[in-house]
Amino acid sequence: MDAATDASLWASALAGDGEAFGQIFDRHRDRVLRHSLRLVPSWHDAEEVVAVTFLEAWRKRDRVRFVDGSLLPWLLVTATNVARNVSRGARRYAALLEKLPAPLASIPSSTEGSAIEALRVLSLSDRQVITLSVLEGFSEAEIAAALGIARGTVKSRLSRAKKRLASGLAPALLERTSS
Amino acid sequence: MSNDYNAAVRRMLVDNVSVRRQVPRRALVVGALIFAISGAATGGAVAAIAPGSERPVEPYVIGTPANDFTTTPLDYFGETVVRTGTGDETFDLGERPNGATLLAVEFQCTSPGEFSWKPADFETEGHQTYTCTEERIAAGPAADAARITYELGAGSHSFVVEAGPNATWTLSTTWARPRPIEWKTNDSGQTYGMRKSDDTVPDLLAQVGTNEVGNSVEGYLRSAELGRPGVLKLYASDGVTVVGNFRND
Repeated sequence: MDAATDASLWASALAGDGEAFGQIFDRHRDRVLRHSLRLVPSWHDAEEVVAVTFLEAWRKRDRVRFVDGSLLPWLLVTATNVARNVSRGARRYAALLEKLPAPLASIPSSTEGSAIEALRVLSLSDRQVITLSVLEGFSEAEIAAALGIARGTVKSRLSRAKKRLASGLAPALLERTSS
Repeated sequence: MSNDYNAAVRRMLVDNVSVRRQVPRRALVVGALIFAISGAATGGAVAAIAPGSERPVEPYVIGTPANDFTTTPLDYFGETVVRTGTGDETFDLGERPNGATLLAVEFQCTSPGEFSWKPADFETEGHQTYTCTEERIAAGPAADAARITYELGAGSHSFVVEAGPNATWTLSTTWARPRPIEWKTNDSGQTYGMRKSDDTVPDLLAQVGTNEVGNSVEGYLRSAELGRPGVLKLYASDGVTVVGNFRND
């Protein structure tokens, strides 16, 4: 296994090494896709979220955050943002995306695909902590580092978001949050 | 992810990185130190030319001139950071400086569209929305920038701007804190100014009332009369000249 951290690959990419960026994509695309499948209604959309997420990573290349050398938490945060408004993200990169072959059509989305419905009751900031904590299993410290906020803030958002989900609007997700 | 699509995305990303565009995508301009903590009473200007931007950013004024009648005069900390952006951006504000409690924000659109912005740790109540028209842009930033302050806790913060894909904007941020109120003294030795945070009042308390034709007028109430209900006289800072009335309900 390649020992280079994302952070060091990133440095190479910043120096113009496209293949380094490709390696970061190889490393994390599956995880980002899986995450996206929970947040958007179709496979097609999820693939688009993945593409836009990595394009966003490059666009925001001087502001990405690494948690213990890994870009994954930041990518997941960005994917959650992108999933919130796929069409807007896709518009920004329309010229690039239209050159791609059509994504695989209409594979039914996974059973977790409707998590986005439950998450709609949450603000984006609460949604970020819930997806990272409950869906992805990151620790509060890792979430704090990925979002660039205090750990106490993560804790309070998490508690607020769980309360809101507990209001009966999202029983399926609630089961998962209480585990 | 289907293999063809996957491979095509990868190729696109690799190409995108390898063929780096020379045009800076983002301009971050750090203005001069505009206010010391004990700095000027009124706003200052930062002239900023954003590298790579098509038009120079005009001088920005952070904060409105403070006087006895504006609600919260501010002291500013450190640098005003002027950012230009296109579409959505989330960026770090960094660590709140010691002593600062507020973030003073000035937003200006530079192309028409719908814009909204807020500190990332604010919920919807901090969300400012702004519809920008050609007329608004033509009026210039000094005429029509949106200004707001946010109270932020210690630690690091980030800020979110949402805009249409090609909508351009400029945002200035400066850490600040409310300036301690100071009173002045008139020729008769009476103090005048605003109520202090410990609730003490000067001899003449700044208040906005109405003049005889019903227009709003700035003046001072005699603190000795503050407890009296009904219509109070509003004086100039000399404590003698009557400039209007204030209804004390």
